[in-house]
Amino acid sequence: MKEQNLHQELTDLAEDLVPAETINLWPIIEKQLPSPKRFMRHTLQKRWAWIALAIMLVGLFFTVIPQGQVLAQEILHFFVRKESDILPLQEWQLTPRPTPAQDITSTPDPSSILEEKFSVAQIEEQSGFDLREPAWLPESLLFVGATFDSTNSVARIFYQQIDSNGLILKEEIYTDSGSCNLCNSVGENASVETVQIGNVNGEYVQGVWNLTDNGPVWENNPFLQRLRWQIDGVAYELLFMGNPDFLTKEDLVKIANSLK
Amino acid sequence: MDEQSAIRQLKQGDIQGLKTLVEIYQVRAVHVVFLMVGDRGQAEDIVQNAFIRIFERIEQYDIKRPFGPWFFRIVVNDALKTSFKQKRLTSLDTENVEQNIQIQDPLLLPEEQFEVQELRQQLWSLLQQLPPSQSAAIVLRYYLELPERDIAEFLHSPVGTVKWWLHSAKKSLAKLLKLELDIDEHHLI
Repeated sequence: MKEQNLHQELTDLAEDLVPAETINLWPIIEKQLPSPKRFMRHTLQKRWAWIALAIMLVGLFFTVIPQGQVLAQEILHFFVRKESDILPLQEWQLTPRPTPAQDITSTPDPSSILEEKFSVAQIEEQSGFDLREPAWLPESLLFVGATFDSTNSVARIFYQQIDSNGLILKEEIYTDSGSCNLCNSVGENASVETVQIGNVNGEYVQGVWNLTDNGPVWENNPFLQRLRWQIDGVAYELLFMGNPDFLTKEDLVKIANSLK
Repeated sequence: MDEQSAIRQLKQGDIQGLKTLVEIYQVRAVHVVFLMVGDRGQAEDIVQNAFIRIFERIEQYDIKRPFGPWFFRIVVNDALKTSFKQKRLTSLDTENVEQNIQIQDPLLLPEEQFEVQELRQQLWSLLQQLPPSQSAAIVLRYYLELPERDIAEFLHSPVGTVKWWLHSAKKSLAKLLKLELDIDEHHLI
């Protein structure tokens, strides 16, 4: 028997013992198949399980693996996440603060909100760029005044609300992340959410660096909400200091969307 | 309906696509498994289950790749698992593996029919006595006519090992059948 005949012999052998015309598997297979509904449900369940697994893996990648953490930081455009919620004592904490009289055009301290009496037009003149203002604000928020921090080139517009520190809209010409003042850091465990503002993404966070004698400590405080975004080369920040029931994240997004 | 249309239909959840694939592949698949495990009931069960698995996992199948090898790989893997279990559980004397092979070819004389019957009986016995991987290699090489490289992939073994299995199986076959076979010693590895 030549090698090539083995094929024929095996074919004949199989055919002798199990004739092709006696093989009909379909009726049994058809009975064992899951019903179309069950199959669709099974397929959907499997699909969701895969999606959930993918989300978990992406989450783990961004939180556990060092490269993922770096990438996660790159994805956050407007807030820079620190490696810890506790920072060392800052150099500027060791030097006395300037009095408002010495630094009339700066407003580094939110407590000075109510002292700002410049109009938006005056600040536009000082800053040299057109400021955008919200076309919508909750009724309880009223315009107070504006100021320009010439050191950092940040314009601020203040809105007051009774029983709160109010809302500040900050605007700055964005050149690069190194010189961007509206890109400063948040704590390691800050929960930064991406939100949609018109056609661009913004970032929302609740919390504040709490100044202690040993240095700043990040605190996820809902009474301090920030929303940041950038449009047409200008970086914006809305900062609300007060009860989050008075002004929610959605309200901040609505205000941001109404800027003109 | 051709194979590609059947697969597309199956990917959309239509069981008619599976029916077409069953019609195309059931005979060859049952024969392959039967030659490997030696039991028709088990062979049909294995092939049925393979088709059901294909129905459930069809979304994993890349339509650009040929369906046959993908399908036969599933079938052969299952057949091998069954074969290994069987060989562990049963003693393989010739009596246990004899089949009632009847040759009814009107073109053959009665003594020719007897000779053919005898030859097939011996071939069958040999296949059932070989270790599972070797009988699988013989079936894949000489029934499905797959190249040695593909057989190696199917059986998760190096090509050299497959060549050796085929060589030693052919030697056993030649010894048992006392017939001439093309055994090329230089063909190994």
